[in-house]
Amino acid sequence: MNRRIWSLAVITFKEGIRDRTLYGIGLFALMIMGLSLVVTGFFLRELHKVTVDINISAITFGGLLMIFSLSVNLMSKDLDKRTIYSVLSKPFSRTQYLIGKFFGLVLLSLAAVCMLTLISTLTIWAVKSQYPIYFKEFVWLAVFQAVFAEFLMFIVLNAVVIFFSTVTTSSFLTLLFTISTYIVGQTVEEVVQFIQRQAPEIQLTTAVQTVIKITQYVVPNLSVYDLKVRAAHGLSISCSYLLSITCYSLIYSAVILLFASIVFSRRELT
Amino acid sequence: MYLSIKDISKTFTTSFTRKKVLAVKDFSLSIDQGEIFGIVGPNGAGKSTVLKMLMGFIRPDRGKISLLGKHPGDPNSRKHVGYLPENPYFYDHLCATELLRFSALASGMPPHKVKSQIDRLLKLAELESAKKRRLRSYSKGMIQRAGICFALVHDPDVVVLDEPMSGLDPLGQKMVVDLILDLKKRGKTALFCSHILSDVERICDRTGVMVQGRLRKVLQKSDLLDQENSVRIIVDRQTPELERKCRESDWAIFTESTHVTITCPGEHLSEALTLCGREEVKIISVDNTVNTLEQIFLKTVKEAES
Repeated sequence: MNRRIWSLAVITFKEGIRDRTLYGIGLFALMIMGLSLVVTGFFLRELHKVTVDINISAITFGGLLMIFSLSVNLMSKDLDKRTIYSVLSKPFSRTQYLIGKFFGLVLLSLAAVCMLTLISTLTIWAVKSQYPIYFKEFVWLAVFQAVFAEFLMFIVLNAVVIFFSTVTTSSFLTLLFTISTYIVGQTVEEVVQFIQRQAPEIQLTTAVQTVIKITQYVVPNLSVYDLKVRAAHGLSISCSYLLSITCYSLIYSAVILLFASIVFSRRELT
Repeated sequence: MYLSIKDISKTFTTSFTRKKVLAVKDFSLSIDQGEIFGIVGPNGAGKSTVLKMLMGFIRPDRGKISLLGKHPGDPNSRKHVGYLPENPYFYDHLCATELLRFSALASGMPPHKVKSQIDRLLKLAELESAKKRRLRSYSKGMIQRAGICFALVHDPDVVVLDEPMSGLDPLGQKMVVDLILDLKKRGKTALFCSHILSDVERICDRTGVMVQGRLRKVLQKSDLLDQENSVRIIVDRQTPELERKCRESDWAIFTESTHVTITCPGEHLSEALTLCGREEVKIISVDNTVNTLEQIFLKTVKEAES
């Protein structure tokens, strides 16, 4: 990678990793995982499913909180506090600036996911050692695959944060649009499938159908990254599926960064 | 020309009322290699807007800008440029060393030269003892010093500084003056705006006075030296005859709330004093410690406003 872009990614990462918000999010996720050690014992069957579900959910929750608070904040602070003047006084093109920030945010998500996965692994291992009888169907690989899929979703969401930071002038709007994208992205596939199944019974206007169709293609389909249920059942994911969602993440992020770059290159930094 | 700005204008539109605000109008300027150019002007004159257009942060509505022969939109135009924004703000959780390392590497400085250059600058800016502290714990003056180091770390050929003395104590201000004089000695080019007129007068080869978005005057060092034999007479009030005579003889006259200042060449002193006596105005003081740039600045602002 270009040394210039890398240097920006590194300071974005350092700025984020030293932020106290991250420690708060980490502690919260740890609490949930710790809780799973206690709560799991209350269930009389399928303990492995409960443990895996709670732990992967905690990783997702921690990662999402990090994106909604830290990633949004790291982008908007540059614009609000005018740090961007100092950064762009260096020979960065606006596109390089966005790419540098994006890689910094992705590095931050990667660090958070690694840390949470480590703790999560220890938690699952502890429960597994305590109740080995319930963990016969348990597969470590399926857990790590599910975590990897969550990380791919974080990559997409970081690109979404970058995009909305360039089109809005307020961090609140960036946050609002990112959360909306997440919610729509998680549900869009279900909505489309429901409409397709119930099509003859529901009379939708052409306009509504068009909106749904556009939404389906514009908003990222984030439900493809939700592999918690499969991991909880000890079902590994095929390599081709993992490869396809990896490609989907990378292509979607690249396209959205391209649009962000077009918008940002025209933006006046007053 | 190292730096050329030709007939640029810029108008901003307010968000809600869509009202147009003229920031810069028909601004032209050329700066040669090794020249130190200062822009002075009241708040809202458009000084920072000019510097932002020069750095490519905003685009002029019309006109052309060339920075080291390149368009400001071209990132390579900023490769040999150091910039200090007004009231700089940096990443809270980084320390000065990390910040300067980023600045140096992003500017394309060879990594093996970075450390020694950072150490040299931090020592010069008296930030050596705080170099490992996070920037959020820095005072305003320390941030300003770090910002100056950020702009200079890669030894740029052109330095653009927006209010470099802002927030600095007298020692800090002297440091900035020394740094700029050192740049001049090494053949570097600098463009900066400041409100500290005495320093601008001392450092700059040329000074531009900007009022209401226009560059009203460009003063050579010799223009300022010519006026060094001026005297200043402070009287309690102004009379129509006094005003007429000042206008006729090209003496500067400024009316302030408590007094009136008249500036005239030394050889006209007796004539001016006689006139004051005849008009029965009370002479408060007479001195020759005239800040020539200040007088020109005030006169230009007044002319522009009227």
